[in-house]
Amino acid sequence: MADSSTHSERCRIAGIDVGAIALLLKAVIFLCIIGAAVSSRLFSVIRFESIIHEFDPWFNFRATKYLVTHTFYEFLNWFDDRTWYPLGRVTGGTLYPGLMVTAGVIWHTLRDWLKLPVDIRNICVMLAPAFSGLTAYFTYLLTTEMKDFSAGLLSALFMGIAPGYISRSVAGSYDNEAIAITLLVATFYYWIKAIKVGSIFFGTLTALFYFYMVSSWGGYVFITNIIPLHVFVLILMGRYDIKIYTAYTTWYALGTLASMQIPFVGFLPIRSNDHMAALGVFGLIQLVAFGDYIKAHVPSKQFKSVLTFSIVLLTLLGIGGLFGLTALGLIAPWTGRFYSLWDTNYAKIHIPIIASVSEHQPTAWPSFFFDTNMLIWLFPAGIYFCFQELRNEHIFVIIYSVLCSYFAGVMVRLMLTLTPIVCVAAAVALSKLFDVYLEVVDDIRITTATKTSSIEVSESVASDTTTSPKKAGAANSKSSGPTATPVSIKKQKKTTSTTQLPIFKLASKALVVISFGFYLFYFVMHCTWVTSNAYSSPSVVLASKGADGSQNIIDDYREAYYWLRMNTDEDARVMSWWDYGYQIGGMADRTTLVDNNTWNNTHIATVGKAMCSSEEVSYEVLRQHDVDYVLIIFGGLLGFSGDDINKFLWMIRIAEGIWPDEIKERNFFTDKGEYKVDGDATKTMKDSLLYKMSFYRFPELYGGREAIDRVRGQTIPKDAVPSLSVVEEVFTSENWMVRIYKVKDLDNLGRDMLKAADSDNKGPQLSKRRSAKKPALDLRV
Amino acid sequence: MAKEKVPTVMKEKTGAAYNPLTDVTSALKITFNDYFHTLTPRLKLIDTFLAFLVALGILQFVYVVLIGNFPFNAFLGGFCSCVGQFVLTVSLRLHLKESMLEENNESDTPDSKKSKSDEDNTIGLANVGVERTFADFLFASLILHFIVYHFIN
Amino acid sequence: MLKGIWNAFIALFMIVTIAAANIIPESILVLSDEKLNNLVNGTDPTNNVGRLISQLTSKGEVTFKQYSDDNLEVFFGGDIKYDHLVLLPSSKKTVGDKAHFTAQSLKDFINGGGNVLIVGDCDAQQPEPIKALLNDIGIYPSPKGYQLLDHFNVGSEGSGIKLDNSNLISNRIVDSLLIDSYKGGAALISGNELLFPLVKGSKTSFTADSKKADVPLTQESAWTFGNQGFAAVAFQALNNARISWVGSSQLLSPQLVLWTLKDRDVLKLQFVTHSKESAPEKVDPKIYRVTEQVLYTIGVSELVDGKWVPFEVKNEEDKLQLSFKMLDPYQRINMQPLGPVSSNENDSRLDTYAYLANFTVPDHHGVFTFELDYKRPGLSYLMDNRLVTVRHLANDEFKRSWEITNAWLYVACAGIVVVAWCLFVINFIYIGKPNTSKKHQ
Repeated sequence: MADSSTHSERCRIAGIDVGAIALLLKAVIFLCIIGAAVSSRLFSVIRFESIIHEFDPWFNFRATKYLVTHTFYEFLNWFDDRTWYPLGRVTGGTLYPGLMVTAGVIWHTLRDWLKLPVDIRNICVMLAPAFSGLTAYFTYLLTTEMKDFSAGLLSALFMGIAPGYISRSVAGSYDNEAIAITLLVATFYYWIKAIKVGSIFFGTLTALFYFYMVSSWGGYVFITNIIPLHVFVLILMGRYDIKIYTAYTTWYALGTLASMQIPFVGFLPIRSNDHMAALGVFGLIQLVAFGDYIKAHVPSKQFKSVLTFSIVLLTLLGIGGLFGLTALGLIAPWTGRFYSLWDTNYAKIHIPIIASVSEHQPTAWPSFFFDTNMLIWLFPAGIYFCFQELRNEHIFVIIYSVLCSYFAGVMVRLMLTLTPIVCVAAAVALSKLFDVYLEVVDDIRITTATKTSSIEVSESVASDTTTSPKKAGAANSKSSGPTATPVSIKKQKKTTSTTQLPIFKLASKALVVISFGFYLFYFVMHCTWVTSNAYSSPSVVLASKGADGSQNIIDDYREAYYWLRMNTDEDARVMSWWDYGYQIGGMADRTTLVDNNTWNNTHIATVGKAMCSSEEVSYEVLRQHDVDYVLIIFGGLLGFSGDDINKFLWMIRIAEGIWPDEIKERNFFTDKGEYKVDGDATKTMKDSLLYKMSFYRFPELYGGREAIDRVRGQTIPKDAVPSLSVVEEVFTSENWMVRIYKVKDLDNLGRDMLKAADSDNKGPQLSKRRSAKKPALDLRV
Repeated sequence: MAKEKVPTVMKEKTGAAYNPLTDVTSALKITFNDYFHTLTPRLKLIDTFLAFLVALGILQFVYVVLIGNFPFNAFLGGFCSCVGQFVLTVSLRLHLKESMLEENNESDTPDSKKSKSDEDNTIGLANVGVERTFADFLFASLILHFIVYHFIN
Repeated sequence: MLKGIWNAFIALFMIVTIAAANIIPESILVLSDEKLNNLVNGTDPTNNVGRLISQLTSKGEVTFKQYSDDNLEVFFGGDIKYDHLVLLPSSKKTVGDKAHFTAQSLKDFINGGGNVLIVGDCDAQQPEPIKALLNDIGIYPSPKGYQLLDHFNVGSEGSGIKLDNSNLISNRIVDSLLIDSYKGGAALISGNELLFPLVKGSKTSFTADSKKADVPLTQESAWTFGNQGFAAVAFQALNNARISWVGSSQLLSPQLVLWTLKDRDVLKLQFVTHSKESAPEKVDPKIYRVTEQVLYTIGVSELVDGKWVPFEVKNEEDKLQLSFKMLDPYQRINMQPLGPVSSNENDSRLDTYAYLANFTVPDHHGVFTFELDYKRPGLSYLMDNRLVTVRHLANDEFKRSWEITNAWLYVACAGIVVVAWCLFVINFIYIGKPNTSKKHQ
């Protein structure tokens, strides 16, 4: 690749400019990359069906449906009374609308202008793959700014198929990240461009893409901090110039103002600490600009010391002011998620709800390799090359990679932001390597040129030029040095007798190139494998392999949600743990109490309390919240480990955070400190509503045999759940994964629910007993 | 620019506690003279505009301190429009200055006194003409005012 | 919503009963034991039971059955077969139709909307199913042979005790009481909120086995003590089905019978509407905005002599209250009486009394409930829950900047910047030309 472009620019083949051919090739390569990027994301659609995945996408999907069925104005002011019952959610003001608006615009464009009535669901499903193609393109542009277009193409390829990015952008993964990564890369590209060219225009574009990014993903804070940091480092390195001033001030002034237009962001950019660095750098750059202006006129040494002094002074003032304002409460302190970035134990101690999300857990080391494969070890090499050149944009790459490596190590979710820079750096490294090791022509030419006279040089060049297409093609096709080299070697023998053949050099090059070719090939294999196996499961539909190798589709979730949709009142309120809130809202279209937008910890704790308390206490909570149905996930029969009993500890912890007197985590562990659900389970455990609902009638299923919970590998005793008084079972899915219980009405006869159930069950037997015994009753006042 | 100097001079003075005061004042004086020396009508216009923006910004800031920031979005809108317009105009001015220097370089003998970074600038800006810069400036300003209008609503 | 269904159910039930009152005569099943009360061969009208029977026959179609009958089914294909059950004392603990006449079937009968009048007798049994039912709702009558006694207040006949108005617990059902010689049991009752006792024993009374007068009075030997013994207890289930229990047929006052058979103190919610004060013509909007003014109106009728008439609240404690709640009540308002209105547009008869609550929606968004929960002992319950959404201010419903005087300066500044910018641009272009040309020279 590198050969063909660098050496044959002035050549023509069959009357066509080689540049044009290169362009054509580029375009073809691009199409291939985009094709690869999109198609590798379609595994899930092929395996399962065109369906929205996971949890959050269901909300986005629901919001998008709302957007396309209502006006934009209604969407903006959407008050959702079907979630967080009875609090409701000011959805329009608490979401990042970028994703929905994008999908909505595409839908309207297709329908109104192109007359293509596409289902909004398909647009939502296909949005992420489509944007991954764009991401590849922007990565190409970004890397091209770093090095050259060959590195750009490599990085585009990497970006297209890197599992770290695919994990969030397979078809159906209709999440904010799907477009946010594209915008992240685009913003960075325009930023680099703005820094390089120093035009207001690119600064404005950066700001506009930044605005788009702000409207799509909370991760925009990353940009908000990394750009000022970049500028700050540049200023410290004495690299300030008016291009940086122009780029930064334009971006900041426009970007900040624009970002405040998003209702969810509001005044945060000037209130919260997360955004203060940008403001500080903005002030700093004004002073630096002024200093620079003076410096241009008075190049005196004393002045420089004055300048440094004032910078130090101002930084101190700024930091002091920041703390002062935070203490005064004018600026919102850093958010919990932010703290958990620095202290990985912070969340565990203070905010169980953040810690309970698996995405917020620290990354396991193998997952780096799993998600990026060979790129992860090319990555430091790329950084090294950046250090070698160290232009402004390289500094950016270095800052980005250092920061992101740390963050990705802390939180699994941030692996996603690391992936682009890994791709860029790895592509730089690899293309540097190929630049050196694929330069077969140059080697030959240099050896020839040094040994022959100037006339011979021109001849050899001419001969080279004539043969260059062949060579270039050969080199291009498969980095196959060995096949191409013998020809040239022979030719050189003819032209110059004294030439020392660089066989060893060529052989070593060939070796390196072949091995890297193999690595690349293996990388592609790995990506495909990871994508198809790890990241293509919709998690709404599960697949399992039967004993004979046939695939079974486990569709319990949808079965249950569909049951809810068809059999319950339209306004019925369904309580479940928050993980399933979005899905119930999206698939069953029923009101939920809590969902994945975990904005109200108390409300979640309330649900936790209802789950982990005894029936009487739970019933009060259920009645107070007008709950009609309770939905739980039970994996005991199937061996599905992500069920509610396994999440139970989080419910208990979160509830304990609010009601430390009523709920104690300790009571759910046996004396030996074990988490048991079998006969040894504690009384509190056995009395808890969730336990009862999970194992209600479970032993009956096994007839006389031992009822084994396959997730926990424990035997459930027959009498574990004698009765349920306040709820009654109304639905259990095929594999018992989803169980739905109906909350009973208040007793018509005004009795206590437990007693009512008790006496209603045993009524006839009781009457046989002669009871002239006086009841023990409280005094009636 | 002229106006902005006022607060900064104070800073320089505090810094001068252990620096020879004369150095700083003379430096400022030279800058000041130089500034008037190189002033062209265009730059003069820009500087007037900048001074006006700064005055307006300060006025609003004083107002917000006195009255309180109740319609916060309106204050931000008004203030940010000043600040945003200010930085954009400063950018324009810097570019203008650069391109002028560049022209001087082309017509006159290269200025040996110029620092290295300045030369980098001129090279970098060679392909960005004044008209282009001005067009960019217009583009950015229009966006700015649109957002401000939206925000202040 | 369930509540909604519940209400609909109650309303439906009421309609059914009204229809029954007007068209089909109400059916009453009287269960008795011929050894104690021979009802088949005519009754003595001077007797308490006889008076009861004549009151019943004047009201509806009465069926007489014995506890020993083999068919005591009270259901007919899922629906209740009779509107009311009158259960007289029995000499046996068991019943003839054990399969169909159970505590559960009695509970189902009540859940189905039937009313039950249970008459006790200190010398007779309460059949098991009836006793189980009573125990279930929290009435524990004294066993056979136990009698309400009082050494300080012996009845005129020398055996029973005297009950008068001082034994009456103030209620709207029975307003006066005078029994010279009460000879009957008493019950303990539980804290069930739907129960309300009518007649209590005096402070010095107790319930004990009358034949074992020599046994010392202990916790074990006495069933009730003092005020905690009740001779008549009424109960109204959430579906407004009524049950009353009396310790003896002596306490069967006509008023109590009327009450139990739902001939009095029956209320009905004729309509419930709410609307914004700004747009009262739009009834029952689903969405309100914070701090809006709301009108909530209801119409209540009372059944008097088989006709619906306006129900006017007379005293302070019976006032209708509205709660506007989300988890907790944000507003709790006494409803203002408006006056008698007609519940039906086509009908000019004033049969309903309208009440109004006018209040401001709290400045808090969420799903709120208009909750009417009117539970007064003796009166039918009025329950109504209506869910509405209270939304936040939309983005264009805040005060515009130019409506706030504080913001004028900012708006002006932003405007001035734009104007100045325009001037600047024009000047820039004009000045620019000589500038560049000068430079080129």
